[in-house]
Amino acid sequence: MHVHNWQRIAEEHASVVWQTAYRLLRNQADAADCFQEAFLAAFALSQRQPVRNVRALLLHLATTRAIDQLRRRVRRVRHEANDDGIDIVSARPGPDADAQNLELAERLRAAIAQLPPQEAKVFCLRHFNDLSYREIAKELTITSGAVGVLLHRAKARLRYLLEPVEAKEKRLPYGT
Amino acid sequence: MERKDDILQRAIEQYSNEPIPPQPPQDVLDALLTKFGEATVPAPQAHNTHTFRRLAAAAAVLIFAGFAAGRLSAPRQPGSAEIQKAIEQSLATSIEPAVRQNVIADLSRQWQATLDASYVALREELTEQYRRDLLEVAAQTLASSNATTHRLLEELVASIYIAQVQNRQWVASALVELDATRRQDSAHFANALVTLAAATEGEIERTKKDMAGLLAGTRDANTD
Repeated sequence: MHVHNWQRIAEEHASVVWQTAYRLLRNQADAADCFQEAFLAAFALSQRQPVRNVRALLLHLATTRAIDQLRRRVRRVRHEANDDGIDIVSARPGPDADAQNLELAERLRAAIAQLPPQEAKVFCLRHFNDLSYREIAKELTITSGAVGVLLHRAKARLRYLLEPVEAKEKRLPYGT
Repeated sequence: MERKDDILQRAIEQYSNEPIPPQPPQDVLDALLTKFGEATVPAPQAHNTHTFRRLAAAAAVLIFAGFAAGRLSAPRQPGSAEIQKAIEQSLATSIEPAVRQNVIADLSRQWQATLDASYVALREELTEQYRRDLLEVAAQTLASSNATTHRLLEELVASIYIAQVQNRQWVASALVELDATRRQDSAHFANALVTLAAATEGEIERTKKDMAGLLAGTRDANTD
C-alpha cells in the first residue's frame, strides 16, 4: 500500500485548499476550521483506502465542509430572523429578496447555500476549482453524464436565485 | 453558450476576483503540520518494525543454523540446551522492548488519527442534535402554551354562561313575586270597592228615609 507523506502534501496543497474554503466562507476562523477538517478527513480516509488523486480529494472535502458551514450559517440567520416575533411565518421578505440586497458575489454564496448539496458541490468543483467532469465524477462516485446534469440544474437554480425580484415576478417560479 | 451579460457569469467573475489571503495563517498550517508530524511517522516506523522483524527473523535463522551445524558437526555437548536457551532469552530481552515500544507508538498514532477524525464528525453531529432539540422544545412549549390558553378560555366562557343563567333565574323569580303581589293587591282593592259600595248603598237608603221623613214632617206642618 502506498504511504503518503502528509506533511509534504499539506505544504503542497495548503494554498489551494485554503483559498477554496476562504472564498466560500469569507471568515478566517471558519475557513481555518474547514481547512484543518479537510486535511484530517483526507488523512483518515487514506488510512482506510488508497487515494489516487489527493488534490481532488482535498478540494472535494474542503468544498463539502465549506458548503455545510455556509448552509448552517444561512439556516442560523433565518432562525434568528424568525425569533424576532411570536409569528412563525415572518412578515419580512424571503431569503431570495434578502439576497437581492447583497453584493453579487455574496448573493452567489447565499444562493449556493440554498442548492441541494450534490449540485452545490459539482458547481463549486467545476467553476471554482476547475476540476474536469471526469475528476468530479470520480470524487463523487457518479458518472460524467450525471455531473453534466447536476451542473446544468445547479446553474439554472442559481440564475433563478440571482436574478432581480422584478424579473422573477414576470415569469413562473423555477421548477413549475 | 452563455450570454455575456449572464448574471451567473458576472457573479462567478466577481466571486473569483475577490481579494483573498493566498496562504493560510502560519499558526493554522503549523498546527496541521504538527498533527501530521505526530501522525505520519507511522510510515518510517512501520518500516522500522519490518526491519526489526526481518532482523529478528534473520538472527533466529542464523542462530538455529549455527546451532544445527554445531549439533551435526560436533558431538552433543551437555550445555548446548542451556546455551540455546540463554541466547533465545538474550535475543528476546534485546528485541522485545523495541518491538513493544514500536507497537505501542503505532497504536497510539492510529488512535490519535481516528480520534481526530471522529472528533470533527461528533462535533457536527452534536451541534445538529442541539439545534434539533431546541426546535423541538420550542414547538412543545408553544403547543403546551396554546393548550393552556385554550383551557382557560373555555373555563371563562363556562363561568360567564353560569352567571348569565343565574341572573335569568333571579329575574324570573322576581317577576313571579311581583305578579303574585299584584294579584293580591287587586283582590284587596276589589273587596274594598265592594265594601265601599255596600256602605254607600246603606247610606243612600238612610238618606232617602231621612228625606222622606223630613218631607212628611214638612207636609204635616203645612196642613196644620
